[in-house]
This record gives sequence, C-alpha cells and structure tokens, in this order.
Amino acid sequence: MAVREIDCLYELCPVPLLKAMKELKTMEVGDVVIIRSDHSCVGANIKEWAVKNQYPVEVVEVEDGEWEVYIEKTK
Amino acid sequence: MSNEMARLIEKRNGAKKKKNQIPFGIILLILALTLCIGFWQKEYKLAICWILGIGIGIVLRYSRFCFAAALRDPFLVKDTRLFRGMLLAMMVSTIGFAVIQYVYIQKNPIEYDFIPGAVTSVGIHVVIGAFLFGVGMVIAGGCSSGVLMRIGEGHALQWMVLLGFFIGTILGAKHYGFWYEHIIEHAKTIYFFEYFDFKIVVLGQLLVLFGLYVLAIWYENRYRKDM
Repeated sequence: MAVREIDCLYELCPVPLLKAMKELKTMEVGDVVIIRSDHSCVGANIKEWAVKNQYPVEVVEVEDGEWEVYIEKTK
Repeated sequence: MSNEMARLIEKRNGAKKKKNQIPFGIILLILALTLCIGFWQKEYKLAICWILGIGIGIVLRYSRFCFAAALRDPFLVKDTRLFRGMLLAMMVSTIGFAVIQYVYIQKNPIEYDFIPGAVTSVGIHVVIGAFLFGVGMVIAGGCSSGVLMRIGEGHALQWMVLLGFFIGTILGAKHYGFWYEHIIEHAKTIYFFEYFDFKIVVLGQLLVLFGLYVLAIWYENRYRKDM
C-alpha cells in the first residue's frame, strides 16, 4: 500500500477535490491519498464526492482548522 | 474503510492533542451578549439584527451551506445536493415573501420601490451581473455570506477577498449611474401580482422550482455513472 500526500493548504474549494480526482487516476488499487487542507468546506466537499463514488473516505481534524482527508482507491 | 487506512490514521494522529478553544468561546459569548444588551438599550431593532446575524452565521457554519458550491458542483462534479437545498430554501422563501407582500399590497398602492423584498427591473443587465458575480464567487471561493462566515472561522485569505469585495462595491456604486442610464433605465419591471391572482403566482413559482428540483435529480442520476 503506497501513501501519497497532496498539500492543499491555502487552496480553496474546489481545487483540492480536483487535485484528488487527478491523483486518484494515477494510483494503484489499494493506495491511499491524503489531502491536507485548512479550508473548512474541503472535508465535506471531498467526503460527499467520495461517498457517492464509493471510495472509502475519512476526514480527520488534525489541528484546529486543519484537516486531513484520507481516500483509498478501491477500483 | 479498510484496516490499513484505519491504522494509517491512528499512526499519524494517535498522539496529537488539540488546543482547548472553549475559553475563547466563552469570552466571545460574553462580548456578544454585552453588545446585544448595549444595542437593546439604544434601539431594540439593532439587537434583533445582531441576534439574527449571529444566528445566520452559526447556521451557515454548521450546515456547511455554500452558495458557491451549490451553483458550481452541478457542473464540476455532477453533484446537485446543495443546489437542491437552495431550491428548497427558495420555495420556503417564496411562501414567506408571498405572505409579506400580500399583506403589504392589501393596504398600500403598488409602488415598486417600497414593496418588501426588492422588486426591480429585469433585463440583460441581470444576466450580465449574475454571470460576473458567479465567476467572481468561484474564484474567491465563496459568495458574500460564505466569505463573512469564513472570516469568522478564521480564514486569513478571506480578508483579502473582503477587501476586493469592498473595492468592487465602491466601484460599482460609483459607476452605477452610467449603467443605469444605458441599460437599466430601459428595462421593464415585471411584478406578477399586478397581472395574475395571488395564488396563481405563488403556485406557479413553486411549480417552476419543483420542476428544477426534479430536473436536478434527473441530471445527477444521468451523469453520475460516467464518473
């Protein structure tokens, strides 16, 4: 299982989601991508997209106002 | 979620501890209440506006409702959940404003400038303005309410957006005369209550909104499979 990190600090919606979508395309099945963000809507935004497309997803607030979104590529 | 991902999260974040923000919250609450009492003594309407403003901010923050996303996501990721939420909110406000305006025009003559809920002219300028606002909203990462809410959340970037917002508003106000003279003055104001019965207007608008709602669901189901 490879882990990739995308730095999306200071990036606004919808840029993190677009970056995540792009990254997921290049990944192998079973890999996990971590999106780091400090924009409060990014978590909700990406989670919604991932749940709809049946990717396992988890949003963790690592610090006040800083989130990490984990998405696993399953297909 | 697979076990591997759970372990990864645990490994990365297991030992971290967040700062306690409750004291700041209490200080802010006391400040807000003091201000509210001050407003109340001066003019009770100010206090009501203050409470409503904070209330709207809290609802916006916790619902994560974003008008920019509502209008952007249908195109970008074929997701219309927020857009449908906006349509529902418009249905509710349709009924609310219909009641307010109905009560108003029972007692007063129809004078566009005084009817509650801003009755203004319709024309090409609305399309141009809406398009410009939409482009700006997506680039700035939020509409005007979203920007204010995010400033409250602590996003420093949105201060810059607010500055741009001020500049734009001032420029707009300065040049309004030009636009009014050339485009807006010739546009017609259409107020449906003048032409149709009260019930038909409300029902018609609700039907249009409901039609858009159904269309949004169809659109989402149709294009989601391609992702």
